[in-house]
Formats: sequence, structure tokens, C-alpha cells
Amino acid sequence: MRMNRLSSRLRASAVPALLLVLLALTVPGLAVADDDRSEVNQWLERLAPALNMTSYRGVFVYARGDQVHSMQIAHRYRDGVVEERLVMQDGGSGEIVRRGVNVVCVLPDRGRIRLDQVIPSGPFAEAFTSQLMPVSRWYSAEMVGEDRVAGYEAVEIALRSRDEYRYSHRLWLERTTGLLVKSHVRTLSGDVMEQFQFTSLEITENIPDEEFEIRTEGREISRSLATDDGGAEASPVSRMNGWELGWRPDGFAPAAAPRAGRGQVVAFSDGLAAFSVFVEPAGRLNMPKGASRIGATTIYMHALESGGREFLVTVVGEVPPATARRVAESVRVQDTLALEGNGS
Amino acid sequence: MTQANLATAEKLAATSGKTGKPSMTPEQNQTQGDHSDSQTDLQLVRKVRNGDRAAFDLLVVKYQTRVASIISRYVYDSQEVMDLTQETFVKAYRAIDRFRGDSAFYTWLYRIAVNTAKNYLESRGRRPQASADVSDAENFDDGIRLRDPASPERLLQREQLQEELSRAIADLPEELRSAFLLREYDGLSYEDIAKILECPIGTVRSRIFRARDAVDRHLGPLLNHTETT
Amino acid sequence: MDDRLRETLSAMMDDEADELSVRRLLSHHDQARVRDQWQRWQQVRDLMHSGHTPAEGVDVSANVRAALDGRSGMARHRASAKGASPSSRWRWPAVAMVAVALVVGFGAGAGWDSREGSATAGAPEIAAQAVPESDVAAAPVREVTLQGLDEEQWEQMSQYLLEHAQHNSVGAGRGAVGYARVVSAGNGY
Repeated sequence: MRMNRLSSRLRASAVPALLLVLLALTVPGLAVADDDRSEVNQWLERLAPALNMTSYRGVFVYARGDQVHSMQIAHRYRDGVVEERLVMQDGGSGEIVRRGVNVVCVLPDRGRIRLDQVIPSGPFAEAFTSQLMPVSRWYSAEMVGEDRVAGYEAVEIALRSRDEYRYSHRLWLERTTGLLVKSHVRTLSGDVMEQFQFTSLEITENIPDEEFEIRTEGREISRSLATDDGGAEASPVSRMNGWELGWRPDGFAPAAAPRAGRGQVVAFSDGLAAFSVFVEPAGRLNMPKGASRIGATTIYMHALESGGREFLVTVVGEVPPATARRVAESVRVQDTLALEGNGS
Repeated sequence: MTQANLATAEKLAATSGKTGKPSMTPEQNQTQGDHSDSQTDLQLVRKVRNGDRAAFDLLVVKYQTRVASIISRYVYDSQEVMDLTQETFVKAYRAIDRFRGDSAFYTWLYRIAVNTAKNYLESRGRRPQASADVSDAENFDDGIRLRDPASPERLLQREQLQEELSRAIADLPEELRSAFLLREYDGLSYEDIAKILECPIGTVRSRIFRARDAVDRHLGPLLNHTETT
Repeated sequence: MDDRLRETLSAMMDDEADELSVRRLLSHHDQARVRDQWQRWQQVRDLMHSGHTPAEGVDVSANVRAALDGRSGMARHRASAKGASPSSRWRWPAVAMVAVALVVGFGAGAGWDSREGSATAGAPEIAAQAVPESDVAAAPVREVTLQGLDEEQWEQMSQYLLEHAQHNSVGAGRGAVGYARVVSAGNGY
């Protein structure tokens, strides 16, 4: 039985707590100078706990660029454990089931998705360690008003970027629970580049166990989000092995580095937006240099020569192309050997 | 019954009673509301520009009858009308990047149709006799001006369909019928209908959908008998 | 096609559908059904307003599709960009999905419209050109047109995208949004 297998992998819930802490650390820092500041703060403080501790079921749509995905979700918080089941609606294939720290991804055996990559492969134990800095220095937060999303009353909050290095965000939080029911990533001029929105939603404590059972027949891949190897992680900064960033927008701090990744990847976040920097020796593959983007996500590739060796710097993130470019061009290789040794 | 309902009911009675080409009042013409500034058209055009052919299909289906009608003012052979209608859409697709959105999509398409017809006649050494200018595009009624064969079978079929349509609409539950008729015959926005019927906009949307669905099912096999040329 | 999508289609008849729903409808896998439903409702409307029966109407849509499929240049480019054409390029799964996502998504972002001269649209080369950068007051950013990437380049691109999405989903604790980004990166079609 699948559920038995799933249950046997069940462990103490470390990650939900982590996520909670992360946002709790991140968000209360948001402060604004005007009258509704305390109200905005109160709402944003609820955001993080609500993401995990609200129980709900519904369907949401995620769109960036021209891609649109629709997913059905059931999310339950009970006895400190998060259970979640996501079913892809597009084409009706595939599901992700999470119970606490265990994630199981099942897809019909059609080879459409690289399963190992679809599953978040954390952990990111050190994520946002530097996120005590106030986000309000980079975004101005403001109550926009009230709205209705998927039948629920929601408050709308604007987080406007204070500089041109990042995008603005807009969040809709359900009135009674603070659950994020809709969000936008926008340009400074207000164009929506990425959106997430529940199209149907029911916030309820009564979600039976069977809604968290795997129902798709197919290949199954499981992952634990807990640290298997004792969590002896180097800090993200030390994992910038052999290279450094000469510039990054104020407020972006090293946030995460994948445990089993290439070792040359570091993610930076300002609490709302994130970008990842990949540095590796240029292989036989000749990648085009420049910017591409999907919705709010920019991919910028940059060639770098150091010590007679070629390197490829790639910046991927929800930041404007010019920011990605400036970050990429600021990368300096200090120790070519370290990079060669660790490279993919 | 509200006043608006009465108005639509009268219109329905007036329309369904006819078998010939109905004369449309400007007000009725307005009700279709998709000639100028159609939000749907612009949404679809944006998708077409991003390479979405399915979006273009929807535009073709929506406008082909009207485009054929414009062309039939110039060209009288029905096969030629079909060919030129097709050519108009192919040209429009190829030029879609040049549609700037400063006029309605239909106006833009209308120009292409007129030019296509005129060029065709000129290439044949025939002088275009009909005249149509762009202002027509905005006020163009939807009556198809393809020459009506008016065979007895056609007339019978038309009558039968009209009857079925009236019956289908009459069979609708009151709440669905009101919303549907306020939309189709009075051309009201969902917001206005919501105010009149004192219900949320979402309800209006859903009622109109259910009405369409019911009418569609009622007419069933009588629909989709389009000639594919 | 479920009722939710059909309701969107109905709202489109009335110009009352929002952009997101329209996009969702158009990404439905069975566009033939969408088109068929749309056509039937248009026919009902024709009948209601002008008294014309479907038999008196015109249907050139199939011919237009065929004409567009059969020609070279932009149409071919568009067809492949849509990812629906059975080109050998898309035979390998995950990478192809991301590739299609990149192609389809590319240029759709607001303020990134560099489609002015469509004459070059069919050119299967990696073109680098200056594009207007509306968001940041800086020198123009070099744009990579992704249609020209080869398979390995696609694979590399998709890898970066997925890894970043994972950082986002877990690291940033964005809940469903994070998952959505991951799935979007891995399953973009």
C-alpha cells in the first residue's frame, strides 16, 4: 500500500516549522511610515503561519509568461504536521503528496517530467539566516483595499519596489485566516508578469484522510526534506567556492544552497524575490550569452575568463534582466582550481 | 417580471416570429457588442502573437460569417466568396504583428477583407462595384448577404430552427432566461444584469452559461450543419 | 472540457472573461472541443440575431488552418513555438517541455515585446539584439532568442530553471506558489 509506505517515512515535521520561521523572520520586518503600517504588518505577520497552518482545498492557477498551470490542492494542518496533495490539472497527469517532511511525487509513466527535479530537493537549513534586515527598506508596503478571491473576502497589499533592481509584488490574503489566495509579481509600471490565484477555494478543517492519498498509478519517487546527513552544512557563503559577487542589489542576502547540487550555486533573497547564481567552468557546450525570460523569471548567461580558463555564469531569478546582467557581470573568479574541482 | 424582461420578451417574440431576414435596429445591433473594443478579441490577438493558433481559430469562427458577408458585396460566386474569405484570414494571420490595437480587431479585419476582394476583382480585370468604407465596419449588421438560395428546404429548416430556438428559450427556467435575454437582446453587461436581477456577477455569468448550454442541447443536432468548403 | 472552462468560453462570448481564464482555456489540451463549442454558441447567436441558420453560414476555419499549416516561414515558426507540431526537436520529454515553456513564454512577459520586425521571426539562429529595457534605466540587455538553441543547450537552460525554482519553493517558503514554479519549470507545455 502506498499510504503505508508513505507513513513509514513519516517523521517529525521539521520543514514546515522551518518555512514558518523563515517567513516569520522575514516578514515582520516590513514596516511602513504611514498610518496603515501596523495594519499591513499585522497582515504580513499572518502570512507565514497561514501558509502552513490553514486547512483548505481548492484549485489554483499559476501563470508566468504564456504558461498557465492549474493545480488542485488539499492542505491540512493537524497535530503540527502539514499534509498536502497537489494534482496537476493540465492534462490531468501527476500528483505530489507531502506529509510532514516526506514528499512523494507520482506521475503516470509517460516520462514527461524529470521526477527527481520536480521534487523540491532541500533542505535549506540556513535559508534566510540574514533575513532579519527589514524588507521595508526595499519595498514600501501599503494596504490597497479589499477584494474577493474565489468567493472569499481578501485584503490586498502592495509591496512596491523602492528601486529598479527588483519587481513589485502584490498579495491578497484571505480575511479571516490570512491565507495567501492570490499574488502578482509586477514591473514598476504595474504590468503583471507572474500571477498565482485560487480559482476555487474552501477553507475547512474537515478534509478527510483519503484526500491525501496517492491516487495516480505510475512511477513513484519519494524524497525526504529532512537532512539525512546530519545537517552538517557549510554556510552558503563558504559554498561560493572560488568565486564572489562584486555587486548585488541591496537587501539580497545569501539564502540557500542546495545540499546535493553542483556546489557552485547560491541563491540570494531579499525576503520576497530570489535569484540563483551558478558559476561553472565552460564545458564543451557553448551556451548563448544574454537574457531570456519567462514571465517574471530572467535567465542571464555570461561568459567569464579567468586565469586562462573560460567560465559560464548564469543568473536565474525573479528580477529584471538588467539586475540579472549586472549581478552576472560582477562575478569574479578567485580560485579557478576550486571551481574546476567542484564543477559539474 | 421586470420591465427589462418584458422588453426582451417582446423582442424575442418579434424576432422568432420572422422567417425572413430580420431588420435589426441599431440598438439590437449594438447588443452583439463585439465589433468595437472587444476585450475578447484583444485577448485572443495577444495569444495569436505569441504563436497560439487555437486562439486564431476562435477569431476565424467568430468572424468568418461577417467577413464572407462583406466579400459577397463584391463577389457573387459563392465559391469565390469562400476562397476570398479564407484568403482574408490567412492574410490577417500573417499580418497580425502589424495590428496595433488602435482600432478594433474587426475593423482591421474588415479592411483586409475589402482590400482582398478589390484586389481580386482588379486582378480579374473587373471593377469593384460595391463600395464599403471602414465606417461600415463599426455599424455593419450581421445579416449575411450571401445570396440566399431560399430553397424550400432551406426555408423549412430555418423555420424549424427558429421554432426550436423559441421553444428552447421558453423552456429555460425564469432566472436563466432573464439573464440570457438581457445579455443577448439588450446587450447589457454582466454588471448591469447583476444590478437588475439583484444577484452577484458570478451568478449572472453562471446563469448565462447554463442558458447557453441548455439552448445548445435543445437545438442539438440542428446545429453544426455548416457547409465546409 | 469541464463546466468551468465552458463558462469561461461563454463569458468570452460576452467580453466578460478575464485574461487569466482565457489563457487557461486556450491551454486546454483539446482545442477542437473548445472550437466546436464556441462555434455552436456563435451559431445560436447568429440565429437569434439574424435568423440565419448554420447551413447558411460559412465555415472556412478548417481551410484556414490547413493553409496556415501548409506554408513556410512564420507559420512554421509559430507552429513549432506552440509546441504542438510533431517536430523531432521535442522528442525528449522533460527538456523539451521546458524548452517549449521557454519558447512560448518568451516575449509574452509584459514590456518585453520585441516583435516589431517579424520578418526575422522564422530565422533559426540565435540572434542577439538590443531590446528596449523599460524597467531598469541601464544599457540595453542582450536578448537571447531561444528558438535557436540546440537540445543540449535547452537541457542546460532547463536545469538552471529547475534548480532555481527549487530554491524558491523550499527556500523562500512560498507554499503553493513555490510548487507552482517548480512544476511550471518541469512541465511547461
